Amino acid sequence: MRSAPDYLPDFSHIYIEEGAEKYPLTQDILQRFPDAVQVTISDYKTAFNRSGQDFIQQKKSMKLILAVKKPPFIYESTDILQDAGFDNFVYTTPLLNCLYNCQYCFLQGMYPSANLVAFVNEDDFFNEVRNAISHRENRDQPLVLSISYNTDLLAFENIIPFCKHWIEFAANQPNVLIEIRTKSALFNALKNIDPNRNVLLSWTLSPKVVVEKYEWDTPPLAKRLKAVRQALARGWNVRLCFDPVMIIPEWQKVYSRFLDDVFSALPADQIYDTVVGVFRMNKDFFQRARKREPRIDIYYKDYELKDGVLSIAKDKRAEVKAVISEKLDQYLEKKKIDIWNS
Amino acid sequence: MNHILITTALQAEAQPLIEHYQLEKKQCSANIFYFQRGVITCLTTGVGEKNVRKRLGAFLNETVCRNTILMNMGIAGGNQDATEIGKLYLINKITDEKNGKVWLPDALLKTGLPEMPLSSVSKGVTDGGNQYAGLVDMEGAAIFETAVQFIPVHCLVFLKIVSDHMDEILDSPEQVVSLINKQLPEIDGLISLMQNSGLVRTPLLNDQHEHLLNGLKKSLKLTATQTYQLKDKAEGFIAVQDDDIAFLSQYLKVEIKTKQERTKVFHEICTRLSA
Repeated sequence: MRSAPDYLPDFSHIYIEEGAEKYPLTQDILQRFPDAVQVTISDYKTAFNRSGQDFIQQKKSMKLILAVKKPPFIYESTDILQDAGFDNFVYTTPLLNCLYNCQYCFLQGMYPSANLVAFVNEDDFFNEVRNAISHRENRDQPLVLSISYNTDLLAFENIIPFCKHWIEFAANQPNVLIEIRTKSALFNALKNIDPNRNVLLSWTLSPKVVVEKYEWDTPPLAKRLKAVRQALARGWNVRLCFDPVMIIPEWQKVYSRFLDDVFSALPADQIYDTVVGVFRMNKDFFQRARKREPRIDIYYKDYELKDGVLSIAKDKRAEVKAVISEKLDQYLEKKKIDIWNS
Repeated sequence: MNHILITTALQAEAQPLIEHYQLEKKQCSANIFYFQRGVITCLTTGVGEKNVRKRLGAFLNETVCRNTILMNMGIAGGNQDATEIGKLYLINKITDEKNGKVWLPDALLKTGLPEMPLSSVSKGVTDGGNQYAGLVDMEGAAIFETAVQFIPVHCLVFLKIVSDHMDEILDSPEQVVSLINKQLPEIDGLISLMQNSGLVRTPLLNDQHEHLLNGLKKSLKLTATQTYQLKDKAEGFIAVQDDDIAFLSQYLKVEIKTKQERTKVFHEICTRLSA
């Protein structure tokens, strides 16, 4: 966890890709950080893809890179993601990397840098999404777009109001459902925005012992639950994500009690749906993440490898499904429970 | 405490540091002289790209870099409007004028220093250098490009003292020594900050662990795969159990005559490490 008094604060430096400076979002951000050292670069990859970077050290003092995204803007879903039964499931990446430091996250091994890249050409993203909506395969379903896949956008909202901009975009778009997944407690950043049926706010919730052990720098469970209550009270669609379910000592009891606590704090009948998953990671990301921080016990458990993805054994996955489903069944209709079991 | 490798282009830049830290002259097998005492080393590379690549490259090839922070320190020309003569700057961007390559040090620590970009040129600039927004030297880019093959970017620190506004050639060693001496307290503070910082992480397997594992590889005649698996298990044991693998030294004395014996012993070790 970050505790580094000798280190510069996050965003002490902002790298600006040539061409990005003319975007209004760039100017907004620079005004929010008047004391930041500005460094101009020709391409964001000059900073982001440098060899010899130390992801773990950079997490102690993250920098911001402002850039103009080039195509593609939209990516097809993979087996690792949960599409919750939707056919037209895709994702986009307005922001690369995350403020948080969850030890089980694929971001620990995916990028060469822990610095954040914010793409400032939002209109280009929106135009591509409009295009994707009109060309979606299953016309009977909306385009389901995850915008917070490689990041936690809501956690970043007070720095760059990406969520606000995407919500405003979604409000005028038929046939789209935008998912904003988060561990943030920062609902206040959205409290003055009207709820929008084209937007799904998804909160990842974990037992306290899992939050403390693995979800470094994230808000505690109690604060996330409060944010969920606030969102529900305002009328938002809210999904609950229990992902990943971590196989810790007495995990069955821990998660059973945890789910009871969640549904005593939240009105189950107002929940849009839930998704459940287990630890899984691309094998290359896993090896890189382990090399970066070998002291995390996650990297020494027994996993199965299938199609390039490491996950817990099939029989264990089945057990998770059985235990969690049984508990969720007490609170929710079956159609509101989606379990990743690839 | 982290090891600080100070590199300078000129002997005059190194002299104040050698005296201040009472560094002793040493030689490495590549016939390169350097100065060292304890965890501070000073290497003079010479002026210009070729000298840097040859001397610094050879030096880094020979020395162990595990806990090293490289600090390139020296004088530079500065933009007249943006810099002050005698002032110390931290470099946040280095451009190699010859090929346009850009190198970016990672500024992670609170140094309190003003920052500037640096252009590395092949010939001294004496016409005022108005085309350069920050500082100008002749080695920075080559130092970065050479050193990053051995040392992570966040452990590469570039400090420059402005000696002129690119309107004269500074050819007096005494002037150089004087400039460095005036900034010595600041430099000393930075060295202390870096020595005691968390910039260099302790590896999970220390030298003793590596020595033990190498010994086991030889004594048990392990295959390449088994060697990898042993290291993997050892790391897991230390990470998860928060314990030491010293108990494995008992296996150094085991005599292996057959593949079956090797497999049996290897399996026993792995079981103990997985417990």
